[in-house]
Amino acid sequence: MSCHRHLHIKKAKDFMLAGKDVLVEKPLAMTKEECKELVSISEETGSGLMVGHIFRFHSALLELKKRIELGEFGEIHHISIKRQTLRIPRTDMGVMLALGIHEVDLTCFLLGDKDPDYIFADMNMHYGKTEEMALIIQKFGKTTAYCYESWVDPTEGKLRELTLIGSKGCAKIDFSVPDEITLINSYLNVKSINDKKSYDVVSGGNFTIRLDFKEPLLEEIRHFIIESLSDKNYRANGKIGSRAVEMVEKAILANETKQFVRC
Amino acid sequence: MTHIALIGVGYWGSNHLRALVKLRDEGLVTELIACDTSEISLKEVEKYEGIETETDWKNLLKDNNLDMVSIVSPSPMHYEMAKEFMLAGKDVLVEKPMALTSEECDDLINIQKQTGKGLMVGHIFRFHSAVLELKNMISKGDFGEVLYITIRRTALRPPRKDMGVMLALGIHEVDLTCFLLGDKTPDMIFADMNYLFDKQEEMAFILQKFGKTSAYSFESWVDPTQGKLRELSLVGSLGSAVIDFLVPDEIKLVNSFLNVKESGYGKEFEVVQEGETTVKLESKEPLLEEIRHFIVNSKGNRIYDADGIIGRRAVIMIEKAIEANKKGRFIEI
Repeated sequence: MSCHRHLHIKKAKDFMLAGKDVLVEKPLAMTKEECKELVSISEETGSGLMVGHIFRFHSALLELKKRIELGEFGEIHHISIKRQTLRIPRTDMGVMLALGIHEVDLTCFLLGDKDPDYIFADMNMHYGKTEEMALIIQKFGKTTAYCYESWVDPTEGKLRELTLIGSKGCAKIDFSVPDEITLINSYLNVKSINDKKSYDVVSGGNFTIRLDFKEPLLEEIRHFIIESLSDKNYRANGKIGSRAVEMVEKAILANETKQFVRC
Repeated sequence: MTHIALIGVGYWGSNHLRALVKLRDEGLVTELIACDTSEISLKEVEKYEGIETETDWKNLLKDNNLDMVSIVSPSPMHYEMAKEFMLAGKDVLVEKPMALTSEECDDLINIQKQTGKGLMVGHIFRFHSAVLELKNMISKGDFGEVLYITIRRTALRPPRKDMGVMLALGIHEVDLTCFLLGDKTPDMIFADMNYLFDKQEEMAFILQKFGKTSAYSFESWVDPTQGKLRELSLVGSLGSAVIDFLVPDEIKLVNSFLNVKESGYGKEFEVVQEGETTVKLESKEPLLEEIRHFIVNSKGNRIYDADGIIGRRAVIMIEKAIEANKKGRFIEI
């Protein structure tokens, strides 16, 4: 279902009630209440409900997640995502729902599907009725994620980049190149003697890992069809889709109230 | 005749020393004294000829021939040294942060008024050619309305022990954004500070709101992903620009923006893309320009482009940003 998001609730509901498995584009629905309704209908009817959080099917991100879990980067300090370009702003939604919803979910995904403790956002609207620029901060314990979304920033061309800073190494992904990860094997080696810290800069150089090329959208739809034919255990299920909408709602509240909002 | 003393010949002080020697060669400085408690640091002075040395700064207070001092000591000493030298009748250039608290800054401003001596703060980016030219272009309206300023100062290096990134780096950013916008003060400030290894923050994000203009600054000592990055980008309604702080004689202009037309159907947008151009400026070393400004204006009307009021505002903004981090919300200024 790739129709206008206002229609997600009604159509997804009707199709599930008619006994069909449903793949619905993100955002799952307009509000967290609508999302919850869809999740319970899926549970009641047994019809599949999957949400198009495409980055959960992005090879480089999947490889990065695996390496995080293996402890390759040590403790994760920061994740920073920049998605900026110069384009005509969308009129149906702002950057929060068009781009930010990807970021708030993919950071959780990378960190083992953890929920953030707090969320913050700074949203800016200079041109139309929807925000054309936003900065989102998510706090996961000692890990912080910063996401910068802009439709009015031409300074880096079309940039879609993720960097991850860990205590034992770093990595960089260009989202438009799903078959590549750059590893930056530099970090601070911290020694503690009598409560006094000393630091060595370890500079291990950079290298690029090549992965099999897989188109994220193809993988997403393949996953939907295969899982729908078996136990309907989707990597991006209704609860995941619902949490993403809820995080964006809290981020919007944070922007309005000018403070971190607890998740 | 200009007699000037340099207080502190550490890492940054040795750069001051080099600049002062250059100004002596130009004839602007007549006599130079270098002061440091460490004899090892004073070895640096032996590179140059004809510089007196001193290990106790208090001895310099009584030196009647001394006109000016440049204070590049550790930040906790700035307040007492700046105060004593002004009271002893010397003009003072003090490195940023001007002092550790806004109360100390108030005190220094009062002493400056009482003594009539000069008080300038080392906000070096006010003397950075590319920043100055960018400010000039902003005020001429070249970029239309300024929407966003983003500053990234990231590298991998051992964290400083005496201060975190807020006072070491952030204090530059909070002042230079004000400077670019015609010395406006932000309405609100927010910060997210991260303590990864020790008691000083190694990474921070600062957000300043100036009406409809937002400034985002990212400071990190633990980020190797972009090498040593020191970059400013400005997005305006009629064009954008990028500066690499390490290259003070260049500005990259990105001549692309959204053209907005009002029609019967409401707003219509058009993406205007006119490529990039590089503006080359005369090569000037920011520190040399800063010290030159101090000496020339100390001999004149003692009006500086980075005076005590500017230095105090920077300290206040950092104090409020730290409060914002603690409370997890914006703080009004």
